[in-house]
Amino acid sequence: MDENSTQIVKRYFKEYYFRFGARIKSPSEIESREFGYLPFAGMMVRHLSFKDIGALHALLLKEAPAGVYCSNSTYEDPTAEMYLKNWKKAALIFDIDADALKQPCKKVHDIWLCKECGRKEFGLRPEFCPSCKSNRLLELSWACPMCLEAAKKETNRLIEFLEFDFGIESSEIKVYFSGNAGYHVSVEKSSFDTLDTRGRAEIADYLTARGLSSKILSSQKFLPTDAGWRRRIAKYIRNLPEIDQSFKSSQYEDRLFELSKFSKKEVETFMNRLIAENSVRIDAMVTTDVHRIFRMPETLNNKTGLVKRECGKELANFDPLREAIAVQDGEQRSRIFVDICPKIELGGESYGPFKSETRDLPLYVGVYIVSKGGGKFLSEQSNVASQNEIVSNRRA
Amino acid sequence: MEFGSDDLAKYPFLPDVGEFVKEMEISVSALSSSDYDKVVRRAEERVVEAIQKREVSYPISDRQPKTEDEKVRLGLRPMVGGAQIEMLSFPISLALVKATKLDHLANIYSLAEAKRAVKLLQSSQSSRYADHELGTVLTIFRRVFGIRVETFKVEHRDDYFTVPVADYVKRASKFHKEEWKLVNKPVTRGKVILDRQDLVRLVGDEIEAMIGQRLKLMPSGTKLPDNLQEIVKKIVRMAPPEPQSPYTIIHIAPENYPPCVRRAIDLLDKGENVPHYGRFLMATYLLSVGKSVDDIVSMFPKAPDFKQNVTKYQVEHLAGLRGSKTRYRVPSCRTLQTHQFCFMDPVKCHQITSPLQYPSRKNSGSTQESLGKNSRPGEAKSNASESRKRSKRDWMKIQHR
Repeated sequence: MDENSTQIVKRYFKEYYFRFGARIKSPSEIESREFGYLPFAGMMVRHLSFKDIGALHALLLKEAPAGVYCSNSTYEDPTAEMYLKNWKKAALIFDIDADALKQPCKKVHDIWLCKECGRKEFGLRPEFCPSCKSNRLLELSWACPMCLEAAKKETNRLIEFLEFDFGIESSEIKVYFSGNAGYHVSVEKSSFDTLDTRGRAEIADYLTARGLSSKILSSQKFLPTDAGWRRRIAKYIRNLPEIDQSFKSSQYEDRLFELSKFSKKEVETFMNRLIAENSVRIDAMVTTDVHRIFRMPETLNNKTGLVKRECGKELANFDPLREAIAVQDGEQRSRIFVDICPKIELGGESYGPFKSETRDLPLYVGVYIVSKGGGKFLSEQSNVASQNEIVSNRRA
Repeated sequence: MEFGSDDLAKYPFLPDVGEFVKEMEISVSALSSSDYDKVVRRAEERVVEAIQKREVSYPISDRQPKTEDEKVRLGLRPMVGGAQIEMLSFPISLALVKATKLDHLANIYSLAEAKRAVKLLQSSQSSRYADHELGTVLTIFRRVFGIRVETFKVEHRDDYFTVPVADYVKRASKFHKEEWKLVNKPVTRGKVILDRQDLVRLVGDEIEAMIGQRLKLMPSGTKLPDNLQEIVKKIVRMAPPEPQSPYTIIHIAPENYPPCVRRAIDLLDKGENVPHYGRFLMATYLLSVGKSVDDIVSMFPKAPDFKQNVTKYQVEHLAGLRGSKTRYRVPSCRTLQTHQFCFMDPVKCHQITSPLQYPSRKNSGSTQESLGKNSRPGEAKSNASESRKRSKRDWMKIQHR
């Protein structure tokens, strides 16, 4: 990001923390947690500790950092080096990223960038840059409402696993929009708090069905009234529609008999399909890492300028691209040179696609595009905004 | 629930036994008296069984083997002199083992006693004592291991139990067979359903550790009476030699690296992004096969996000040169699977649990270098199958250097 753009984004962040910083609530046992922040220039600052949330608010006003993080773990000494902190416990956390769900719309809104010649194009990353043949290509993924809806569906499935299989009370499960392209789920208090990395890997594997033995299928020892993955498999087989090509019969028992006649290859194919449709695609790294500092709720995501926001009880009614906008003042506008940007939706309006053009856009849209690496600010508070552009881009 | 003397005889590692023995006020010197002949004989027998069979037998009073075969199979024999002998002989066995000052014998003995306890906990009773015996098992789990075990009714059978998921994974995550993975167990409402065999197996290692810990904390240098000292001498003669130290580094030719490490290197060579876990694996593996930090850093420049200083700092950290000064272990195959960085070779990766066990030494492109003070490089085998045979404990020790 160029210096001018950085300054404008930083001012936007500062305004947010000035006006809405009080929304950032203290985590439980704040004195035992490690905090960190990422400045707009420089390296991540970690191993900080605050006695109360007021001290953090003050820091945010002073620094207006690009990212603010807090450990999901508690430590005896959160400011010590990692190996001297003395880990106590950690909330169970999950990260669901729309990008990992590989939705078909990715090829419409993703962008690749050649690190060698600078070429940028819409679409999935090719193996080599068509211009300079370099293979040093970066992917810039953007999330559209469809991707975010898929992530929401995945989040609902995760919650079902947490409640039904792991017996976690729904009041302990908090769901947040990450501020970028997915959802964070945190289990505040549970018997899993003291699990180490290895134990958490087992939880992650359970959700992603990694290591699920195909012997379960051949043993046929499962019923819809069973427990765990056996129950899921049984229900899946029973509920497959009649027209499904995997089975000739529509009756559960007959389908089990057919299954016993499947070849090894057929079992494998069926297993892969069953896992794809029933598992939860979480980022296992996040769940298993007990020394992570995690983006704090109600702080801004530097990849978008959107807020990491709690979704409330009704996840279905939460619209991240409307409800997570940090500062939405119609008056605040900006002129930006858009290098490349797919069609995006924010605050109920749609913008783009743009390529190598100058645009006057609401400031929060400008912050979004620039933070995504799609362009640079020419000026803030431009007065030459052509309302026609917005109107022409308005959703039908 | 109170434990009866039969329970304490079966599970003499329980803290209640200590109380019981204390109440009896037996002094060490009294053990030379002929009154304790049978107890001392059984104590010696326990240690001898541990050395010879790696398992201590478990005479029990209320169930006799019906046939000679069953007797051999179960290791059952009638209790000589009752529960008290069985119970009192255990602390004396511990004293005997401690007096040998052989650490590896302490390990052998702890494991052999743990096996005995596991078999006893696993053998469900169909006799009139069944209810009491079930109560004992549940109490041991709750009181000694802090696990809230409950019985679970399954049609026509009542030998099932539930264990809270967190208690289960804390223990089962250390086991390698796929049947122990949580994903392959019936899980419902925060509980894992287990049969009795698996329930008991879950705490086997803890029983072993508990006995081992007790041996470790015993004061050394306690003066034993002459008859016991004679037994100690006998045991020392019988004890197997201390196992050879496996502190060696194996140099492996790059073409013989396991497929996961090769994949990470290939991706880096092509300038493609290698996921975090791939980088972690590659660095820890290469450090383990004797590559220097600089060698490893020099493999990264094509990475799209390469920064020399950052990479060097990170590799030095993994090598134990920074921060906590502990060297990071090579991740296990299982961890790599969790992080989707396992590219299994169906033949060569069969039954290995760590990339370090990959049978990489088929060609002569590998040499071995001794590092530890006790290692005997000349004795190291270098045939192709040896690295596969190397036990889990061995490779863990290598990484703990």
